[in-house]
Amino acid sequence: MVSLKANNAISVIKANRLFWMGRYAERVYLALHLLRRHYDLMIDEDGDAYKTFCIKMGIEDKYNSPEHFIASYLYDLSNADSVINMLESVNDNAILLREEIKSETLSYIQMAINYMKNSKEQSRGLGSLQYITDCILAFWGSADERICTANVRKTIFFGKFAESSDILIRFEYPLERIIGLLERIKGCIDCGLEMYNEAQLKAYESQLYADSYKDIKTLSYLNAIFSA
Amino acid sequence: MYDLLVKQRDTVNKWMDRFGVRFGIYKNGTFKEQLFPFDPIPRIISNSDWAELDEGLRQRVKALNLFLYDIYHDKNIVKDGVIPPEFIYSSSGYLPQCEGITPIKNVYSHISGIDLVQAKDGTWYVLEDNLRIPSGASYPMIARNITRKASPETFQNNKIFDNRHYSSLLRKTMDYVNVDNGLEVILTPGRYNSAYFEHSYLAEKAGVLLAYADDLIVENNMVYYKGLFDKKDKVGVIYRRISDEYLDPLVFESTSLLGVPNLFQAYAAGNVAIINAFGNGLADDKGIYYFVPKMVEYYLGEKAIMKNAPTYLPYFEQDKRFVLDNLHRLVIKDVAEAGGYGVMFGKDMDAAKLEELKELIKKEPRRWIAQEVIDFIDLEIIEGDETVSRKSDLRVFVLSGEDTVVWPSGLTRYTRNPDSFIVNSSQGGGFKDTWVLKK
Repeated sequence: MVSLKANNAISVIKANRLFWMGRYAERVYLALHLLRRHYDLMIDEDGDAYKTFCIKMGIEDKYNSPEHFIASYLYDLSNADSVINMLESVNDNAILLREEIKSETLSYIQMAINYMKNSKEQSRGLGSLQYITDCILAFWGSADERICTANVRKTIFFGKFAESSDILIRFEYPLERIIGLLERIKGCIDCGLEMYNEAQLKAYESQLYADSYKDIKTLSYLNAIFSA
Repeated sequence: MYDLLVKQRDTVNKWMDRFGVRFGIYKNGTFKEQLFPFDPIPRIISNSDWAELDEGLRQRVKALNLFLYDIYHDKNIVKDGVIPPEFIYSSSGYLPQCEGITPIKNVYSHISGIDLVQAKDGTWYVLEDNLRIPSGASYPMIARNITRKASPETFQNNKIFDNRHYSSLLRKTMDYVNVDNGLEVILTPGRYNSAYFEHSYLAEKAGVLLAYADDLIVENNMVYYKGLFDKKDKVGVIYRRISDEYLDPLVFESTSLLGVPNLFQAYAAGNVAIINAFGNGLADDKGIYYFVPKMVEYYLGEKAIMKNAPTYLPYFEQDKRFVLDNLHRLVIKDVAEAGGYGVMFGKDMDAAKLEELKELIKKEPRRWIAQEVIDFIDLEIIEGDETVSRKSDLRVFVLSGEDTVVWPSGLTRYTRNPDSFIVNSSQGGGFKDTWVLKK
């Protein structure tokens, strides 16, 4: 039988899609998570907390009010930074990976997009988007459960951990959280991930243990680990 | 039989949405993906009807495979005067490059999609043989998966052949012709192909790789899948979902970006199996269709079990006179068109249009076929809260590997337009599951 061999073959383009699907899915998850925290401040303490959110996320503050920010950042397809666009980016990759990630895994992204589109029409607020978070968590669970091929699974999770590291560094999370993610990135590599740059990984690791780990340099090392 | 299922139609549609069961169409030059409308009322085929279809379709596909071998080798059917040579050499599907080439294990049409309609008297007629890249099997497969979830009682109460093993049949067919235990791939033109959902779903369910043109390379007449770090795995079989003319830019359409340079050479050298083989377009030419019952007799020495719709070829003088005299009540098809395009109903044309068409037929008789309009049965569909009747057809899939097998199901397509006979999904039609009863 050839199935095992077939499943192990992975092209550069496919590896790239797997990685970016993982990154975008994690970006959706963390954007909603962090947005909830900033939105909480916006309710009755700091109406401009979204500005801090934009700075930390590294996105342009092109919003003229908190309401405009929420409406546009969540649902506006013409806003390249919006959550709906992040989800579309997950989907654009996932739809081309059905045979690897399986229809069930893909379905959680489809459900999230359908829900986002309905939410926009019904002007649902941020609170209702817990459903999107649930879908993303189910997506990760399904990916972990259903994808048997190690290099496929690990490439997706490598994307996830790279994205979490990037965002958590930007939002100044404690170093132990970032180190924890580094261990998980290394775990992906040990378990069969082929597409990575060893020198960049070492540079990233040394940088984390230096005092200046919050530098932009850290992010550039991190983002260069995934390469052929 | 299916009342419980119909009651669950909202649940079914939610599942369809969740699984992204879509069909891509181009409208005014823009690609749009839309849900492929699914009607929960199945087409039901009795066990006895199926037994006859099964036998007739296997016979037909065997003859078509023998025909393709003959044409690209000895051409006995032409030499013996059964088919005029013009019908072979003027067909756009005939590829002179395939002369003398025998595909792996001599199978040309591994997956044949035969379009049928059932007349009101119960007779089944073949409307078309699709031997190039017939699509559609994935839709009833996933529909069955969903409808069984939505209404298990329906399937407890009725004895229906399971159709979810299509992917195993496909895999078996691929395994049979796989050269040297190489990789098995489905080659897709990409996301913006109307049937992309099917390509990816079949790759998932058959457990084979989905590849794009850039993933494959030919070196020393061998096809390789390009992996990470220049790793190359030899490919043994390609189920291509790209037409012949775009499959190898060095042999066919030179501007094609969808194909793989030198793929044809690797195929000709017998180093890779191509499903379906190059050059099959000849056998699903609408002009050749006329001769299929004669092929059955010629190659198998049997009377054809499956009937063609009564067809006239203006190429023959007698038929031309008949067609010109009866154009107002016939359906006329342009042999160069597909997907429901180039089909005209005489009854819908005014005098001026009929005259125009007559002139075209006189000028290029080989380009047209004419058929009697079959009064085929309507099937019920649910529209809103109502049940209405619509025209439909049935595409049955026949897989040829070690054995020739008819998949006990099929894609039932229906028109959503009450005045139309055109059921093609590319023209907005929907689909149904097809139940074949066990008893």
